[in-house]
Amino acid sequence: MGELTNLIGRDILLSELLAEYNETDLAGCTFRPAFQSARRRAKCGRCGSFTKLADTYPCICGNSCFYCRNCIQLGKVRACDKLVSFKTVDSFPEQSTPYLKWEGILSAQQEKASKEIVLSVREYTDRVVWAVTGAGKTEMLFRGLSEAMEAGKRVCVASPRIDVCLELAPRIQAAFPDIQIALLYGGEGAVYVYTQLVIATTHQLLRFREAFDVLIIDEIDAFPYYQNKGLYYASEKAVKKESSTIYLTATPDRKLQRRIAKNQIKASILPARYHGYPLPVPTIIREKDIFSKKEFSVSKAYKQIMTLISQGQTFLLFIPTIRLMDSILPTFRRLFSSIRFESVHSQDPLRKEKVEAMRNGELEFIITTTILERGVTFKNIDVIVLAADHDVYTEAALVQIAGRAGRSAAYPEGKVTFYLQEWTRSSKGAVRQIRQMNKRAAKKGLLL
Amino acid sequence: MSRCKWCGAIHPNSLTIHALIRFELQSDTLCFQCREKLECLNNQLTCRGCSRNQNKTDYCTDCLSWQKKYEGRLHTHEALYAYNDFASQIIEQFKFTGDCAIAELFAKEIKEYFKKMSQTAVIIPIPVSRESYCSRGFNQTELLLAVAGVTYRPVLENRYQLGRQSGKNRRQRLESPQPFAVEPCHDELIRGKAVVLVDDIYTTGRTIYHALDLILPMSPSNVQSFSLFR
Repeated sequence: MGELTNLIGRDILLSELLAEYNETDLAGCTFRPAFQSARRRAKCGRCGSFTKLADTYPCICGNSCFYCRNCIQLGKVRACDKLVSFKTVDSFPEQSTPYLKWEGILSAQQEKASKEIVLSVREYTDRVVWAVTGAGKTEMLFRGLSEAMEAGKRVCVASPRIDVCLELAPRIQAAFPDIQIALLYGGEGAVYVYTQLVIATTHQLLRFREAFDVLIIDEIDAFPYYQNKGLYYASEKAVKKESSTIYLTATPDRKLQRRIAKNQIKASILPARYHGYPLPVPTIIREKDIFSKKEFSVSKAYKQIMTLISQGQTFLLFIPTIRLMDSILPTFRRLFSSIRFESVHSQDPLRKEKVEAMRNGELEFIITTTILERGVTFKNIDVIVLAADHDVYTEAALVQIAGRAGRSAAYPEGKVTFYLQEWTRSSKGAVRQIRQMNKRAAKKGLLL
Repeated sequence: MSRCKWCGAIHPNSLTIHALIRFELQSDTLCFQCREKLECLNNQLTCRGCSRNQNKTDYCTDCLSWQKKYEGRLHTHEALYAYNDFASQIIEQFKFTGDCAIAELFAKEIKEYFKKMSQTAVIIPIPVSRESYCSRGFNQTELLLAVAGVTYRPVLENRYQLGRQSGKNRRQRLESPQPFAVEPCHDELIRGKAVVLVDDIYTTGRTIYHALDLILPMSPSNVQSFSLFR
């Protein structure tokens, strides 16, 4: 038997619930039809995307029903189904002693942003926190989270990337040892429990409705949130009518940058890294047809790689696509037969292990697609991007990639090199953005 | 431009002369990258008995052992694509996630295949267990045929199957008992006709041969079988 409290603020299909609940137990819940029809289309109540009324298929109800293809990975929303939510006031106790047990020290700019976040949470307003890679975003959240929970508010920290969620969870748990966290992501298989603090992928937000007083979305520009209206819909649906949403990003897209400039949304801008060294500005090296060269060993990139290896400097080598990576790997295996290196991409089952090996210093370098562009931190690392003018690299991606270098206070001066044939909007924009942030930091006196 | 029904990527419509002449301006349901991941069995060396991809056209060992069991009966099974990783992802999404629209991906190819069949051929889909039918709401094989506009006769019933075939290993599959039944009233329909048994995947052949056991005594003129994947 399922607990009714587990349905507070949730948005779950009736067909899913009937495995655990009797229909009579659900009497106190709110039921909504799974779809809202509008002319020839119907809007999915869970993810907000549209389906043609005519696209019907045989259904478990015995009739023909249309269903939502967009969010089907979370379970099929059928036209004949209902969405169930238990509407009641959260009753987390108010607390006078702080939940936060973290005792680290915030830098001046972190301190300022942290206070601004606390204020936004208190006043139920939205805010963008634009912090350069390595500014220490997570720590700035702690006080806001703590105050919200002490006031009995329900809080969610979400990110489009599972990797980011998995990295956040232990850090947040360590800061709040007395708080039970529900960590939700696709395929985790764990049983859902009603908790005051939820860490979830933005996809999982679709399973909530008017649930949170505070929603923090980390890496909003990361695929797939970027350009995905459905997940904007999800974040709006998951929060209560009166609530505060905090967007964290290192690389806001142009639209958001414009909104910040026009003061349409409150923003905290952190242009400096916590250690006070400027962001590494990419060095641009022009190189034609780097992947179609008959012999990679005559390229400038090869020379640089050899120098790095001889210096014992570890590095990440970014390659635009899996296909290009597969095509160049045999050459690398031949050229660097005596060097320990690995390649990773999104479909690599050993991704975690390889990244771990790199961290432990077992590898000289990793060849990677954009999968390692964000969320991962290596101590002392240089970054090389081959074909930085390729379409897959957005401005945000390049800024993030460059942001992998020089993150640790012990090695703040990582080198970043972009190999490209010609300037693109993205590569230009990325270099400009990095320079701009460094300038801003210098002006504010935040650099050492 | 159109959207790939599998990965959602927007891809340009490839316009072929062939399509122009026949006024077929319908674009491919899959984008080029996804289409490439499907392994078409049409132009490859396959077993003449079951369409298994191999390096010769002779009967494969599986087929030979079936022939032994069936006293030399030569069965022909045809399949469109190899059941590779991509195909198994598609099937997973189609059957277990319940994404019915996947059937549209193969409508054209299935329609094409059955076009060359005689008009009088009786097309019989393999039924799914009642359990699966209730949880999915559809029989994937029937849906594939229906979306392709192929007329079929649901002659077989699945009465006794316990558990999913896909949850079993090879030995368990081969040892599974007859799950199907057929009403004697269908005798007339089948006697003297060409019969095509249709399934979504052919793995060990067990399912198709179970169906054969019931259809053959009804004295059809000829029985062959077809599956989307092999």
